[in-house]
Amino acid sequence: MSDILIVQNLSKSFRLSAKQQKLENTNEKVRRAVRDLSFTVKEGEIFGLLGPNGAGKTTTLRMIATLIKPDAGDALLDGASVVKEPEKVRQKIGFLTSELKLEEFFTPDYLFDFFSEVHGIPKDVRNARKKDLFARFGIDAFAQVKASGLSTGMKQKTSLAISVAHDPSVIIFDEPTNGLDVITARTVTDFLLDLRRDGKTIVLSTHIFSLVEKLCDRVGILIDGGLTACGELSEICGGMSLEDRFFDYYYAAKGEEKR
Amino acid sequence: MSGIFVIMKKELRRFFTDTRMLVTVLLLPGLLVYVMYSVMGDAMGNMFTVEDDYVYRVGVAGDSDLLVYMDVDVPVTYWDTRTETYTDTVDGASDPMLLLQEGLLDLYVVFPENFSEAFAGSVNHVNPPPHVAVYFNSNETASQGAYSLVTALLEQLETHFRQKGFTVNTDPTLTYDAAASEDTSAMFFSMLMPMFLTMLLFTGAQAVATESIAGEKERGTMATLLITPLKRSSIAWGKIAALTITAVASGVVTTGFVVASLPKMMQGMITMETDLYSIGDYILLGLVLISTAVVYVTVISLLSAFAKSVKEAQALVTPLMMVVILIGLTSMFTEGQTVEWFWYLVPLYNSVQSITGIFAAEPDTLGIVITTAVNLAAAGIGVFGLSRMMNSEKVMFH
Ligand SMILES: Nc1ncnc2c1ncn2[C@@H]1O[C@H](COP(=O)(O)OP(=O)(O)OP(=O)(O)O)[C@@H](O)[C@H]1O
Ligand SMILES: [Mg+2]
Repeated sequence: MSDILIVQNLSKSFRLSAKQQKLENTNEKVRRAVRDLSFTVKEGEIFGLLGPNGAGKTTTLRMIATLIKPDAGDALLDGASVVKEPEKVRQKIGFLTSELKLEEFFTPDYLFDFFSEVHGIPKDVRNARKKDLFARFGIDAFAQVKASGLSTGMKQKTSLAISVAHDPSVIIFDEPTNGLDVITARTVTDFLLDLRRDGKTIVLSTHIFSLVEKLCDRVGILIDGGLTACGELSEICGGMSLEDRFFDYYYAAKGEEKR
Repeated sequence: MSGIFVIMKKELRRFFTDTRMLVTVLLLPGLLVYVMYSVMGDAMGNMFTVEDDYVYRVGVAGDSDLLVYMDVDVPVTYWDTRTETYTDTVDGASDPMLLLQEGLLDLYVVFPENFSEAFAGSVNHVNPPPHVAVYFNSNETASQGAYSLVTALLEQLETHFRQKGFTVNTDPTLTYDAAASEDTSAMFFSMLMPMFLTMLLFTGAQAVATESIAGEKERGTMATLLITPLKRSSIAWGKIAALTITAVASGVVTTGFVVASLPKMMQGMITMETDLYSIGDYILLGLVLISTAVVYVTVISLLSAFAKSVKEAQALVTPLMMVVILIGLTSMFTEGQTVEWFWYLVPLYNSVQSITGIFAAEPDTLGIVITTAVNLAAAGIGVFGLSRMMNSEKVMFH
């Protein structure tokens, strides 16, 4: 299978404000959130970025989704460069994170139509997809309720439906089950598996081992902005549990840093 | 291009289907002004005029044969219906000055003894003219009214009997002031409207633009928009266009309320003339309003893009609001618009000048064309800047 996403030496630093320095009890002026990161994702697989808080998962996904620009390096998504052709990349991806919100004033029905129109989807195609997705997520009954009146789970499901309104070939998902109850989380993971079955590629980030074990074909372990291991789940684990292997990598990386 | 319309449609829908927003931005400011003016107008009206059917209470002392002379040329009927004379009340112990102060009397007239003879003698140059004292209370509107009425009557009487051979401005059926009431109204409008229109346009623009830019940023919905394939410039243009329409709607509705309440505010002081302006004037006004609103909206949007929250945006916009009000006020102190064309090159000021001209019924068409062009160009530069800002992660994701 071909590589649909090629990440090449991505780097990103943030200038820390005085307030941030105080908050994080550090005197470094610059935080190197992502360091020289390279990996590839194959078409039709679910790829997981696994890492602790602050590892740089969100920063990496935001760069791939063209929300922020890398300081160095590039990523090619289905041949389009996130640096040079961000608009092309945006057409091909669906990006979902808890930081992207829906306008509370509008209904799921309107929002779905709006984002479909933004992507230039014809009306009949849009209506068919809407019917399908709304039925699958149980949004039907709430389609005319303003987003402000929806539960967290229903909002998340609406966001999910909208993020795939244009039938993107790559779905980028930051912490897919964060803040969801077990039932909604199950709906989401089932949907991701269905998307893979339909030939879509999924890049997700998480710190939950079980989620990786359940969903991912391949995994990259991200620690302090750098990839310490990357490969097939079975390769990485080598017969051990993912959790045990993760801590091996984690202490190895932290130890090296201290030396 | 279609991206612009998609954004515009969404923004307009956001505003025009939101009852709360419609009430607070469109209806409430106008209604507030209306109520305020009505109350102020009533208060001021009471201060400066007396009711048409008010009867002055005039105390008369001494030889009050005056009234005998009154059925000559002077409007006696007017005197009769407007005053009630008291001759007894004041002839007692009570101090007439006190009665005036307490408002029990509006006027107190003292004729000298044998006024009639003294008057006749003075006409024939036998003796010096007798003196009539008219006491009044300048703090009371009614007293002032009675004072003017009585002194006017006395003067007319005096003139009549001295037989000077002519009188001045005594025919009550004629208007002697050549200023047409249209001119007065136009001058009045041209002084007030620039401030009202620019201020209310700005208020409307501020309410919607901070919400649409800083609000979307604050709530995280801007990021959702930014990961779509929409061009940044489409988002910027779509928002600015929709916000301009909304601001103009809000400004015009609110100003409508203001104009409707002006007669209430000015009751009695000035006669309002409608039909002062032609269709052409209104078209020019439309051009100025739209091009002014687009400048306001663009500048407020740029400031809002810097802000992290709606609150911060509003704080950033407040100084600009002061500037707009100050510039609007300049029209109050100058009569008519400027004649130098280059003033129309200055955004914000050019709007005030153009509006002044239109309401003075002497629109400077060249100036208005310059104003429109300059404002649209300024907005274009602003929108370009806004697109750039939307591309900047430092600005969009702090
Ligand atoms: N805009 C920013 N300004 C300053 N520092 C930032 C910014 N964004 C991220 N960082 C820092 O970069 C590092 C990586 O952050 P990132 O959010 O990518 O981590 P993460 O792996 O997603 O963590 P989490 O599990 O907490 O979501 C962190 O130390 C974070 O504080
Ligand atoms: Mg994160």
